Amino acid sequence: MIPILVTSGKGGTGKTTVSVNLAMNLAERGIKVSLLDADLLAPNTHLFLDVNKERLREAGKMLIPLKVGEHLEFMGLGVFIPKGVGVALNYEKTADFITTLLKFVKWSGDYLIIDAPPAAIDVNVKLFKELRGRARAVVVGEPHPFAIEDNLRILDLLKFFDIEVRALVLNKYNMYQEELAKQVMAEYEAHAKKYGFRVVKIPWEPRLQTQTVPELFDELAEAVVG
Amino acid sequence: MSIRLRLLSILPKLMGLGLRRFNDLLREFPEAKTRSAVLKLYDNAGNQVAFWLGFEGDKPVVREVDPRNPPYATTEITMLIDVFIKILKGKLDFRAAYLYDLIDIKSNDGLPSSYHFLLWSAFFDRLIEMLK
Repeated sequence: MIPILVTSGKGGTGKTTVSVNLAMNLAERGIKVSLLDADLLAPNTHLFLDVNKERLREAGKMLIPLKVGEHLEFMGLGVFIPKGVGVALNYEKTADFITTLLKFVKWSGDYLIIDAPPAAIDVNVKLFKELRGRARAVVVGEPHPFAIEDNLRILDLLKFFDIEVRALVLNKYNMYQEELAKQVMAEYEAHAKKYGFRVVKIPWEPRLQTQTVPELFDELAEAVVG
Repeated sequence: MSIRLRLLSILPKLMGLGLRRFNDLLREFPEAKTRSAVLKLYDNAGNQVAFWLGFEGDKPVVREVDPRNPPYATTEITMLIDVFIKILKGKLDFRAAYLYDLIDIKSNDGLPSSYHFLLWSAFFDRLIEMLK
């Protein structure tokens, strides 16, 4: 199983949208995909999925992930906690959850897509350490100057932890001024050469507010599994 | 009010459950046979009571134990008696209480505490449902 970390330098960039649509795109190609919601403070990935809220079960000291479709399985805290309850977990408890979700779930996918918490907070570092040297990454950003700075920090950390960045998603690129988007794109392209990743543009479109649109993520899917 | 008197306030509910279907509840969770718990309850004065929950052979068992020297269990669940009473009365969700950091779960079998939390949550859900 190859872990694919979907991360970003700041919050609200669309990591969950990218994670779910990427997972569905791969599953529609007949690839077995596991999807993990590791954003414990805002565990919302399940909201995009038709998850059967059955009781959690275990087998041989491993939790059984929830089936979402023929080729897709899912696990995340959001399914098992009451709606609207705030999460006041300290670092130890959060890191403990990460360990459970990464190592004590009977994942069966060829790829494990991980919807990561935003920014370079300590829980991300826990994830990076767990995935050191064996994961691929997708960095999600918007064409905004602040996003460049934040994403450069994340790219640096991913390099430090020997996680191979396959793609940088320029999300909702059509919502920004054309000139600004071009400038940001040019800067990312320069970093893409240095890090060896592909810059993938994903447009904002109304359908993505209410449903998954996996076909918009073909180029990204090819970048991460190719 | 002492912790025992506080416990007495929920005794009718617990007895009702015991008389009704506690064995059924434990049997409904077959994986519980490989897990056990020490439930430790304390009050603000520092008094404690503890119960051991689990299986002995095929028989589900709940018994009071010494909180300072409890027998081995795969999990230790510790909370304020008031929190436990609120959970049993359905006024506080077990999961929410854990996420608010009102419950401490310690693992004794090498599995992460959150692993046990997720599984015990399902057990408590069913317990509360039966108490209603």
